[in-house]
Amino acid sequence: MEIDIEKSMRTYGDSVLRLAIVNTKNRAEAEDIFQEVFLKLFLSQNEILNRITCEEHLKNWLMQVTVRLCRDHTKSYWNKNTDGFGEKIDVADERSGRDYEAVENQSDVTKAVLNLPYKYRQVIHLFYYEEYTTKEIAEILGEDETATRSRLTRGRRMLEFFVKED
Amino acid sequence: MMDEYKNDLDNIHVSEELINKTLLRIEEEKKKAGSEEVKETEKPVKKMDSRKIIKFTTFAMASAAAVLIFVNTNMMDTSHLTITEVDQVEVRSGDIPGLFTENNENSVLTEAEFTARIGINGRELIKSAGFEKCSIEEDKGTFYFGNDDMEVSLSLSDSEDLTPESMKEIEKNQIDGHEVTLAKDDNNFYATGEENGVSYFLTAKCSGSKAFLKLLKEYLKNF
Repeated sequence: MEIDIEKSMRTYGDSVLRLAIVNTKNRAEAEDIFQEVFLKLFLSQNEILNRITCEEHLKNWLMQVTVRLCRDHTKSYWNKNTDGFGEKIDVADERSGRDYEAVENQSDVTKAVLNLPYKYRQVIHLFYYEEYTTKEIAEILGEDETATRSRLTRGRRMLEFFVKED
Repeated sequence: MMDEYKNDLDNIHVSEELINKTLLRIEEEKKKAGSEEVKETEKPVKKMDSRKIIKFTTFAMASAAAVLIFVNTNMMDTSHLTITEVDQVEVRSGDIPGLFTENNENSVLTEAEFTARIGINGRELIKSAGFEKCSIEEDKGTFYFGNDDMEVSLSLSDSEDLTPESMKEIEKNQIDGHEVTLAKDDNNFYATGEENGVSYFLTAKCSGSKAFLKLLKEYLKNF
């Protein structure tokens, strides 16, 4: 039995792309990650077939891989834009530019979410947009539920802070 | 409030072009995998040998590196704590007092905003050395303290793991119920860990491990 990659792309592609956009804040980079995610699905399908017993499992697996690839991407982005001693090279300028190209005609709330640090906007997105429970988010992020809950609380607080500020 | 966010995100869709591009990459991968399978059946013995060599070399290199780099020394009368001596802990700008500690003009947040965001006042975490200044850059805040006997810097971030690469593999210590990684190089002592979702990296130039651990315990108590 094989996983129908094209069908998976059409069913869950939007969710993967949205999560990647929220993480990278850049459409082109998110599309690269999208390709990597489904390529990984193709390459790992034999290993994961026995673990994926229902459609929800497949979606969770895809979200997990997206999170991991975005994390790697963020690390390499930091590395690419800093010198050997961690001194920043115009990262701040690039980041502020990235905030506005990710989602077209974004509302103040979306701007505020994208303005949150990486760890928090990920949790906020998975909770409010994808409507995952904190337990499911913890599984996707590979951390314990308490940490996820505290990150969600802190993320909410920060979001309120940013929205009020605007 | 989140409805606006949902509406914005609902407008994001995968294009047909992206799906086709991805399918094309998968096809290429299929072809590549097919040709590699052929090669593997042609030279099975050689492949096995090189795998073994790589495995053995990796293991040998890892063991050698472990022996060369890490020299564990129990340095305290509280002998259960281990401060691992490393060749050099790689630090970022501002992580050590005196090293690029100018105020950062690119700060996105003020100290008050940073404090509100992470919910912790960095100034209040260390009392035995006087607070000198604070520098906020991107998602990290660094607080500097000092007295006649020591110079201390404390970096905090709620979005970034501040643990230096060279400290990531070191075994953690349990100090008053907190998991902390400890290291030293020359006269510098380092502590790193995570508390309530906030990553920290503490550095201290001080007379010895006793003074450092006293400082660390004070810091952990105030967190």
